[in-house]
Amino acid sequence: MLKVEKVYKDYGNGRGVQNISFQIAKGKICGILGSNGCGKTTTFRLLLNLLETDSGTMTYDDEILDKEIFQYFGYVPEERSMLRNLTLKEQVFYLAKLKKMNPKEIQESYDYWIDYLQIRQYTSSKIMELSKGNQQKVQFLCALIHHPQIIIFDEPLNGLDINNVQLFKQLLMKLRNEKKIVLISSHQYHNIEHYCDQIVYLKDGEVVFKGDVEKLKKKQEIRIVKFKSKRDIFIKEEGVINYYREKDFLYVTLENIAYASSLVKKIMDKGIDEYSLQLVSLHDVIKEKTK
Amino acid sequence: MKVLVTFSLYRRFKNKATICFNVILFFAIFGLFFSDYVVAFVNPSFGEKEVVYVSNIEESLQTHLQENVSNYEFEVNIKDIKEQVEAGELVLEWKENQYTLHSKYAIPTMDILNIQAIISLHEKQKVMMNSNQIELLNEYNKEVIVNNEVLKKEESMSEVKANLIFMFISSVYFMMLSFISGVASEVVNEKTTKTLELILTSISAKTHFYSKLLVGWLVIVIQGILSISYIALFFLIRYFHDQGVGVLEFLSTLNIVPIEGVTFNEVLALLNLDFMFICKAVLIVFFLLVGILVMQLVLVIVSSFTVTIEEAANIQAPFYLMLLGIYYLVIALNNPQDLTEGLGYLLSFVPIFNMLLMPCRIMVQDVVFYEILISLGISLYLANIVIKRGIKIYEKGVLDYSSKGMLDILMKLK
Repeated sequence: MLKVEKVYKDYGNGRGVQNISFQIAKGKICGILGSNGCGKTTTFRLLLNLLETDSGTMTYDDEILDKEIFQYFGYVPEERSMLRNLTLKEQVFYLAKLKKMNPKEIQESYDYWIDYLQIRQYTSSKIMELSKGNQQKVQFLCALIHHPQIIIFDEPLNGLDINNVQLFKQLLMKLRNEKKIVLISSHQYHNIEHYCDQIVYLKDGEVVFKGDVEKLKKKQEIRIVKFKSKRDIFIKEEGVINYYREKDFLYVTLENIAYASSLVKKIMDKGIDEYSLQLVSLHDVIKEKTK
Repeated sequence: MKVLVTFSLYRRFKNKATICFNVILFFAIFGLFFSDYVVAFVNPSFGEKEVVYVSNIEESLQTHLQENVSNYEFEVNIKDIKEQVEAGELVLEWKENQYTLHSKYAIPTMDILNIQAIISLHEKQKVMMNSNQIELLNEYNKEVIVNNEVLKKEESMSEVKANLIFMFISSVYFMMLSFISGVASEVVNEKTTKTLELILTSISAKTHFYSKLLVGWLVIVIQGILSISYIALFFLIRYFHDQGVGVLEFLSTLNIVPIEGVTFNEVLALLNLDFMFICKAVLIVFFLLVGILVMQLVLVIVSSFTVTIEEAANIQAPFYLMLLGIYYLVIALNNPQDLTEGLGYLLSFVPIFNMLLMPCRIMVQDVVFYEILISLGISLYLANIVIKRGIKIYEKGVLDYSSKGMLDILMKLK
């Protein structure tokens, strides 16, 4: 179990994170979500001891996180963090040696992962010669080579095409099955919502809400009605919590599904004949919680 | 096009490193244009013509010298010669049918030759005016020699020795500088490519900092060993070829080795390569290494705050300018007078300066052991402080991408 309790970090300019607390069990995938500058990367850097906390504790299996325990971590930074003039193999071996692995262990793990990530044909290529997607796969490889227990993916989908997004989803499932703890940040909620077991939503360095994704969704239930309309319609009906437009669709969130039939009737009277009831998405949960 | 140019210019100039560089450049140019005031303030006697007191020399020769020798004033001596020389003054004396220039330290050969030529010309003019034909022939061909009698011979170096030593120290100095910049560039590369974030998940910033220092030193040591091996190899080849006569003759035409027709053996004999020389060489290398360590520390720490390659280049530029300034200052101070009791002597105890000036002193003087210890102690103490403070600054700097700069972080360090 990874536990983060009441962690503070102040950069001195009003930024940083305040009173961050969450815990993640083994075999769980946790989405750390929030807009740019909300404190996601700072949280990861604190976990990795790249930054010192001002206060608070972080433990893994009840052990305080220190430099030795960091051998359990695998980290995929948001930006491409590689020495571009090294070959794929040199890069991976260099970082694996820093993790105190012996050459035999490195070779075995390396052989496994380059096949899994489908990059064997690039082993002698320099990093700078690889596409963005393949560079990202090399980062995955560097993060996984030493069989870490906790893997942190900071915006991992950047630069991945559809096939590689699919491969990444498979990778997440594999890690979950192996009882690893996965922390993942992304602003593409729709791409990760099906894989996250829990989420921590940050805003201005503070946890706005957190919890089990399914439970959060369940609380919302089916309360959203989707209308197709190019016109803006002013809706002021009983039971309507809020509404918002995305492209040609208008989404209306209700206090209770019982209000749906009366709302649909009134909207149809305004000349709209296409509507549907939506399952609550992570996106909806976030919108609801942060409105 | 306009957008590209504007963007590039903005990146190049709108950063703190460039601003610092321009502030330094501003003051450097100010210093250049007002160098007379700066020098007058720092050293009021700088640029004044040195006085040569003449003793037992006729007035016409004194006037002749005064008119023709541009870098010395000639005045009549009325004091005791020995006392004057002890006080560091120069005295030109006519005694026992020869001219002697008394000085505390050796006078540059070119100056002596110049005075000698002027005296010779004066003698010839005098003979032509006053002598008959036979006397004229004898006197006209008489050679005038000015001897430089030096009070502290042991502190006056031969030109060969001085040139060779300074050539050696300069080469090592610049070689080391290029290597320390290599280490700083490595830090910049790792930081700008964000590889440091990955590296620091496995090791501490402190370990990374020490590893960089060690790499810097090892590179210098390995390159030093390689260079000595190359020198030894080609020295031996040339030695068996012609004992180095050809190359030494060529170097003498360039005034690098100011003696002609010598062999490697003779040059080595001139250098006195005995046990003491080896001890001195070890001390010199040690001084250079400690000095380089301090500079390397500073450059690596400063480089850890850079966010872009452009910023790194702008930070390193004024650093090299400063080091070049130190080098030229040392060249100016590399004379017996300054090294014994002038600014050179004082700066041989100041870190950074002492890595060049103390070796110069060690090679040409018998420096008292405690002076070497004091100078080395000061340097090591400074290095220790820079390491201790540097680690904290480095830890903050390597993961800081905020462009707040070092000063901002220094202010917040406890």
